[in-house]
Amino acid sequence: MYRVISVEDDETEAAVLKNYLDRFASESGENFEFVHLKSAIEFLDKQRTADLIFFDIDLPGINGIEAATLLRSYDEETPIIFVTNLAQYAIKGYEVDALDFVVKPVGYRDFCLRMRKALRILRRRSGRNITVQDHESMRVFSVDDLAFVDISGHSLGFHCGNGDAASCRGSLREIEGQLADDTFVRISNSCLANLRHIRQVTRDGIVMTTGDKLYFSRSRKKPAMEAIASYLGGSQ
Amino acid sequence: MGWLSQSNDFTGDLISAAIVGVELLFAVWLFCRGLPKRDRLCLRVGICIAATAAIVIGGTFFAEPYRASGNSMLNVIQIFFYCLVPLMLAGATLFCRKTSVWVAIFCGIGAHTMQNIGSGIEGLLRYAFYTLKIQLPSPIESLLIAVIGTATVYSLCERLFLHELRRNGLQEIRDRGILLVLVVAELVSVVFDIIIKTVPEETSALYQNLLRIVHLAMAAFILYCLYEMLYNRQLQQEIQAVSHLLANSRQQYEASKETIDAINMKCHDLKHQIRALKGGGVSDTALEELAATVQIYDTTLRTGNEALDVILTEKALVCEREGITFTRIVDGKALDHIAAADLYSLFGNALDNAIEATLRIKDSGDDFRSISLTVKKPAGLAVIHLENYFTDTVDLDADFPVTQKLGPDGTRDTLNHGYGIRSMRAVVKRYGGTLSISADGDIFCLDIAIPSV
Repeated sequence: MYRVISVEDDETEAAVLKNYLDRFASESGENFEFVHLKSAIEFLDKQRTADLIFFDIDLPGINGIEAATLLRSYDEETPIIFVTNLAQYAIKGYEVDALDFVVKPVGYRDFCLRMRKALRILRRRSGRNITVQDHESMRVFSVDDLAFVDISGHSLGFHCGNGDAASCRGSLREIEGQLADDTFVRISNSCLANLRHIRQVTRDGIVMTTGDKLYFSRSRKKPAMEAIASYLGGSQ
Repeated sequence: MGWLSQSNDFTGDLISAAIVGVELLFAVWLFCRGLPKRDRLCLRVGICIAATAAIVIGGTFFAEPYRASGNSMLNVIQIFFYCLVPLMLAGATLFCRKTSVWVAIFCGIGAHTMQNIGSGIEGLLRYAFYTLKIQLPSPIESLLIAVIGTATVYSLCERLFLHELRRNGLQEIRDRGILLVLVVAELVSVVFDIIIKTVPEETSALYQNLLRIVHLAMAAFILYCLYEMLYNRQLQQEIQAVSHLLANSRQQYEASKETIDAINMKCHDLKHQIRALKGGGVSDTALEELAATVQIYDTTLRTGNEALDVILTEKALVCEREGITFTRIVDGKALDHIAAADLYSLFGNALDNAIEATLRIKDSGDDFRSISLTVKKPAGLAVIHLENYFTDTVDLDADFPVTQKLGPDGTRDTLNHGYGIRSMRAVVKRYGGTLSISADGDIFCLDIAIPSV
């Protein structure tokens, strides 16, 4: 179940969007909760949270872009899609890390293309946990918090974005199998990294949110880079 | 070549000639195997075999009186005949396969040369048998030697280059230079052969074998040269085609850039004029609206990267004309370190593919004409992401989508179209980036990632 907020001053436009969302829900098999807010102020005042936000650019008072900028000051994650009359204003959508935008009048297939991209991104959030039998105790981590898993000898090290860590014996391949449905990529024989936690990509490796720098192995560099590109581009 | 070689009787000659005939047919078949077949192929092949048999029998009969009398006219006739053989083989190729005259001649001469090599090996084998005192009844000996010689040489040739030749397309031969080499090859083969055959009996075996070996080496070398030339020619053609594409690209870029510069100047002028008009008869609100419109036109073109502006505007105009919704979120600065020409060709190719794919969808219901482009720089990596709808008739090949575009002869025009994606990969690779293609149902996704310097 995903919550979708539409910040739109025009009633008819909002209705069209809801209509499309319902149709999309039945086609994709996902459930959506649709919330319609008439102005950006209403949205920011109540600090409403959502999984996906549609901002009309042309709003009275604070326009969509400004609202998005303010949103980004406290929320870097939630995907944003702009709705606009003029493509020109949205071209700088990258400044607020907007996912995409649609041009009015919105066609269903236009909407669908962007919505499916949003869905790909929404589905990344795992929500799953992984259990690690550390020496003394059993630790449970949320897969989303796990930054990377590395192995030294037979000792697996689990490193979380917030600094938490644990270790146990095992094989990396086994863990890779457990995390097959999640956003992990094998960057070398001894390291499995979570794409969500990549802070910087360089020619020879990646820097994680924990601050660690991990290096590609020569044979895995190309497939790893492709996976990273797919992830950052929104295809995966 | 086997005719009038070691045996001294008519039957022996006939058998030798027949063996040579079979070797030649086999050789030419190996060369022209991959070419498109003509109709009623079995009948045609049958006719060729019958013709060969006729020539073999008739030729042996014809040469008989000359051989018996030891007439040296024989040599002249032999030379004449040997030169005709490749032409006859070419004729057989043309008769059985749909191809051009040049390709047929290539096959004919190639096959003849290959058979020569085989026959050289056979000569050496015959000598080996003789030295080792292996005595076998004449026809069996000839047959055995022929089989060993042919099998060795032909399978070697097949593995070394025939296989590749067929794969790379024998159809591409258009170069007359190759034919000249072939003609020289033929003459050399023939002359050597005659020398070897007409060497007096008393000459040392060593000399004879040396001649054979040199003949062999030359024939092999010529085949190798042919192969190299053919392969290189193809590479050269590819290079030419790509440079042509690039040249076209550059022309288009210049043209587009001129247009956009002109528009920019006009916008600039308009803004000035609007300022000048203020306070005149036109209302302020009207002027402000006008200014806003001009401003919008101004911002359209600004991604922060001039080359991107040019190519994106060009393609945006195409999309507008075709009724395709083309949305773009572009951080031009992300691609500052890429050369203008490369950006132009990269985005040109990518967008052309996307546009073509959407136009190919013939759906009566919803409008699938939608393309979405984002260029951002998350995590220090410049990422280009392009998606569009497509019909499922595109092969998501391991390396690139195999095109649906049909060439003028109705076959898949992989040659020209493959270049689009291929050149994109080449550009991306030059900057140490990656290019990957994937599909989410009926949505085609292209991801390019280029690390910043």
